[in-house]
Amino acid sequence: MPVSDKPLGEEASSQPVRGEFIFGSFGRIGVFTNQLGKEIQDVDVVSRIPRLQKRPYLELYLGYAKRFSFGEFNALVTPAIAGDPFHYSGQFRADFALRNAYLDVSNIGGLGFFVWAGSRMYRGDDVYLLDFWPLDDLNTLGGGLGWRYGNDSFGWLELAGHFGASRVLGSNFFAQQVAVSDPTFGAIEVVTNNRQRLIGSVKASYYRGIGKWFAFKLKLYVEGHSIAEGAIERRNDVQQILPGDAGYVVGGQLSMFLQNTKNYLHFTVRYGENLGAYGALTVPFALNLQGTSAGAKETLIGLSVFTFWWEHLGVVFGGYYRGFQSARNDEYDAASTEELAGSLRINVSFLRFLQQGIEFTGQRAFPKGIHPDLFRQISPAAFKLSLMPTITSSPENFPELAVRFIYTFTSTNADARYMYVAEDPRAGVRNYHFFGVQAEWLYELRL
Amino acid sequence: MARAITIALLLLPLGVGCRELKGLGDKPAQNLVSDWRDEVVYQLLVDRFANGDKTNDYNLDPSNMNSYHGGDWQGVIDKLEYLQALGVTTIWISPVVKNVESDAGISGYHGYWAQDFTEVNPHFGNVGKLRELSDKVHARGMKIVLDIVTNHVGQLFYYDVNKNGQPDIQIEGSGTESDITRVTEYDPDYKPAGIRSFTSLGDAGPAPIVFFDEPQINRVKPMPAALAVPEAYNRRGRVTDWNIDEQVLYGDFPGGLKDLNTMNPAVQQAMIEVYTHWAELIDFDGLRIDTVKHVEHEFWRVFCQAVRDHAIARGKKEFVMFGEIFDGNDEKVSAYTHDGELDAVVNFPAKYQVFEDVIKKNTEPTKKVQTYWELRAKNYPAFPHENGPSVSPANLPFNFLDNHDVPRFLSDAPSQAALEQALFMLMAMPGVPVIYYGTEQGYKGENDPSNREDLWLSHYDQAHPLYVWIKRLAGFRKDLEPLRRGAMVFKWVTERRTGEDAGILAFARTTQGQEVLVVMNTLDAGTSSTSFEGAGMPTGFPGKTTLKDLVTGQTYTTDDNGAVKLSLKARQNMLLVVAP
Repeated sequence: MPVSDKPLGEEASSQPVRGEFIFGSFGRIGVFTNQLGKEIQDVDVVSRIPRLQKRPYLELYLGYAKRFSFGEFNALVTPAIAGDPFHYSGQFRADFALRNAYLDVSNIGGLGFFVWAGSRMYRGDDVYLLDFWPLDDLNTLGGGLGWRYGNDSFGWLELAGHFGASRVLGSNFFAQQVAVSDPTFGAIEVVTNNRQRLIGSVKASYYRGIGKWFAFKLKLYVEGHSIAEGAIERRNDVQQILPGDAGYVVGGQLSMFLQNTKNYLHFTVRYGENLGAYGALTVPFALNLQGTSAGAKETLIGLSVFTFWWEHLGVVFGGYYRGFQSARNDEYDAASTEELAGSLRINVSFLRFLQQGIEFTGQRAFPKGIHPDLFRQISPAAFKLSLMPTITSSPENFPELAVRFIYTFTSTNADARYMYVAEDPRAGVRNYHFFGVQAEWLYELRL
Repeated sequence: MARAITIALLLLPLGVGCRELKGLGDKPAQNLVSDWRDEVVYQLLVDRFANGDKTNDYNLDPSNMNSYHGGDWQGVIDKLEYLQALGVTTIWISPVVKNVESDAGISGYHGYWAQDFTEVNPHFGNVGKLRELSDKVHARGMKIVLDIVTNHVGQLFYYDVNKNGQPDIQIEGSGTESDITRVTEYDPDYKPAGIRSFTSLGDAGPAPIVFFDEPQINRVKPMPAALAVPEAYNRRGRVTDWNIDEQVLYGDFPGGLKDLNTMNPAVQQAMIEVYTHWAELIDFDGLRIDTVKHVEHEFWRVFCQAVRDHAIARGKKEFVMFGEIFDGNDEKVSAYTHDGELDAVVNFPAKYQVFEDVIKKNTEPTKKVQTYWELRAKNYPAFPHENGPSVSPANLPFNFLDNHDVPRFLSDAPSQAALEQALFMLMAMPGVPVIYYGTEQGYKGENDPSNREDLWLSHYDQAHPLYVWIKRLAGFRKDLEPLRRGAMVFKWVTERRTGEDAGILAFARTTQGQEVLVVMNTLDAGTSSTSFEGAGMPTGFPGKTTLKDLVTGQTYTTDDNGAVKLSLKARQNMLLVVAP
C-alpha cells in the first residue's frame, strides 16, 4: 500500500500521556465469476499479479501506544485471514495467521534510538498495483534496533538493523518429525530436522526536501541469510544430509516526491545471490549438485509511480523486471526465468464519490526450461484490461473506502496456454471475461 | 506520459523484450561414429547408476530393490569422467519415457513400463537435462544409445471379463462338482481367440478392456492417442507357455504388461513417430531394442527401415539399432537381421555358448567357440542395410557377459580370474563389447532385481582391480586396430578336456598388415600349452619372429616354421604382437 511522504522519525512528547488504543483494518473482499458463471482461475504468466485479481484478504490492526518521557511504546498485533474464509462455503474454516505481533520502543531517551522485538512484517515501499514489496520485504520472528535523526535543514536519516528467523513449514527442508518406537510401548515423535533461516538486514534511509515542492529519499539495503546444516530421515533409516547454506541481498531505492501531495515515484533495484536469491518465505528449490543454493541469482527492478494530478484525474503505474537463475545453472533449467510485468491504472472521478477506473496490464515471461510437449522454450504473455466503476470515500487513487464493480478482459498468447496441462480448461482458452464486485478498505483509528 | 506508458503496456505482451527461443531440435546431428566396432559400450540403469539431483528424489526406497533409488541423468553427467577413464566410448541408457509409477508394490524404475511415449520420466530429470546429457556425452567424443520398447506398455488396462466395470480377482468353482479356478481381470491367462467375457449365462463376447484412471501412480491412458484404443492391443492375455510362438508374439508379458498389436499400422506409425522423435530431439546415436522376438518380423522391417531413413534424412550417419532376442539359438536370433530388420543383435548366443559354456563353466571345450563362430558367419547378412551402419550384421555382434535381465557373471561365484578372462575375450573377439554397469566394481547380483545394484555403493572406485583391468583392455582395443576391425582366424582350439592343450583357445585378429594373436587357457586349474604331441601352434608369422605379450610384457620367439609353444597357467591370457 502507498506510503505517505511524512518525514522519518517523530519527536516524542516529553510528558507521559495516556495510552492510545489503535484499531484499524485492511480488507479486500470480493467475488468474481467468468463469462460461464464459473469461479475464475488465475491466468497470469508472471509471479506478481495485479492487486485487482488478488483473492480475498482481511487484516485487523490491534495496537496500543503509550508515550513516556524516555520513549514511546507501540504494541501491534495484526490478525490476518486469507484463503476462502466466508460462510458462503458452508464451512467454518479459514486460513489464519498473525502477521504482526511486536512491541516497538522509539525515541529512547529522546535521542532517536528505537528497538523492537516480536513477529513483524518488516517492509519498505511497495509496488501498489502489483501488491508486492520489491526491495525490503521480510516477515520474521526477531528484533531490531536503529536510530533516527533529522530536521528540515539536514534532512531525515534512519539507520536500522534487524535480525530474525523464518521457518517455512510444509516440507521437510526446515523441520521434520518422525515416529520411532518408544522404549516401552507404541511410538513417539522425534524431531529429526529443526532448522531456521536466520536473516539479518541493515538499511539506511535519507529523506530530504528541496525547495517547497520537491523531496527525495535514498535508501541502501543489505540482507544476509544463513541456514545451518541439517539432516532428514528418508524411508528405512536412510538419512539425507541437508548442507548449510548462505546468501545475501543488496539493493537500493530512489524515491521522489512532490511535497504536500500524494505524487511520488519509487525506483528500486535488488540483487540477491545464493540463498538471498530465494524469497525469505521460500524453501529454496532447484539447488546445485551439492544441495546448496550457491550460484543462484535474482535481479529485481521495480518501478512504482503514484500520482494524483488534480481533483478529477489520477494515474498509477507499477511494474517490474525479474531475472532469476537457479543454483543449477543448466542450459535449460526449468526453474530459471525472466519476467516483465506492468500495470497502469487511470482514475477519473465524478461527483466526488464516483470514479471510473481503467487498468491495463501486460505480462511476459521467458522461462529457460524446455516445454515438455513442444520441446522448445516458450514465452507466455498476457494482456489484461479492466474497467471498474467505483464508489469511494474520497476522490483519490487509494481511497480509504471503496466499492468497485470490475470487468476484466484477459487475452493470452499461444505459449501462455501451453503452460497448462491438456486437461486444464485454460489450455484451450485464449480470451477470458471476468465480472465481479470488490470492497476494499484501509483505515486506522487511535482512541 | 500516460499515453506513452499505455502504448508501452500494450506492446509488452506483443513482443517487446522478445528474444530467440531455443528448441531442442535446433542443434545439428553429431556424427561421431566411424565404425561401431571401435566402440566400447557401457550399459547402465539410470536409476541405479548415480544420483546427481536430489530434487527429483520422489518416492524412493533405496532399501527395496524394486523401488526407485534416485539415480538420474544428472548423475550420469557427473560420472562421465569415470566412464571415459574406464575406456567407455558409448553409453547405453535405460528407457527414458514416462512409466507407470508402481504396480503391485513394484516401481517402474527400470523404464520398461511405458505409459506415455511422448514424455520423459520425471524421476530422471526433464527433457532439457536429457539433451544436456547427450550434448555432454558428445562433447567428450562419446556416444549415447537409448533403450526402447515397442512390444508392450505397462499395465494400463484390465479385461472386464464380467463386465461389472471394475477389475476383479475371482475364485470360481465349487471344488466338488467343478474345479476351483482363479480368474484375474488384471492379467488373465492366454486365450488364442482373445480374452472373452462371460456371465452366468455363458460366453458374452470379447471382454472389453478398460484403461485405469489412477493418476497418483500414473496408471492412466497411454500416449500417444493411437495407443489409447482397444485395437492397439492383441488382448489375448498373459503368456503361459513361452514355447508356443503365437503366445510369445501376441501374449501379455507377466506382470500385466499389455502386448501392443504391432501389426496394426496405426501402432507401427506411432512407434516410428515417437522413437524417431526422441532420436532426433536428443540426438541419440542408436537404439537398443527390447523384447524383439515378441514382435513380428513384419513390424521390424517397417520400423527399422523408417528409423534408418529418418536418421539419414536428418544427417545422422551410422545410426545403429541392435536388439534383444533373448535366446541362445543363433539361427533364431540372426533371423531378425535379415530383410532390412535390425542392424545388429545383442549377442545372447555368444553369452551362452562362449562366455558361459566355454569360458566360465568349462562345460564345453574351446572347439565350441570355433564352431559357433563359423556357423554365425552363415547366419547373418554379410552386407549392411541401406541407410544403416556401414558394418554388416555379420560383423557387428554386440557381445556381453551379463545384463539387467540375467544374473551377473560373478553371481554363482566363479573366480575373479574367470571374469577377467571373460572380459579379455569380450574385448578381443570381433564385435562390439558391452559392459554392464557394476562389472567394473565386482558386483555379483543374481537375477532381477538383485542384479540392479546401486553403483554409488562402490564409491566409484577407480582402483578396483576389475576397473583397472577393463581400462587396460579398453586401452589395448583402442591402440590395436585388429582387435576392433580385424578378421578372426582361429589358431588353436581343442576338444580335449585334459592333456597338454586342454582349455587352450587361440585366434588371430588380422587387418591388412597387422595381426594380433589372442591366446587363453580357459581352465581353472593346471597349465596348458599351444601344442599337442610335439607340434606347436602355427602363428602365421614368419620364422624367428619375436612376439611380445602385452599383458605380461614377456617375449616369445616363433620357431623356423613360425610356430610357437606357449605355456599358459590357469586362466592366463596373452595378447601377442610382433615385438618392435
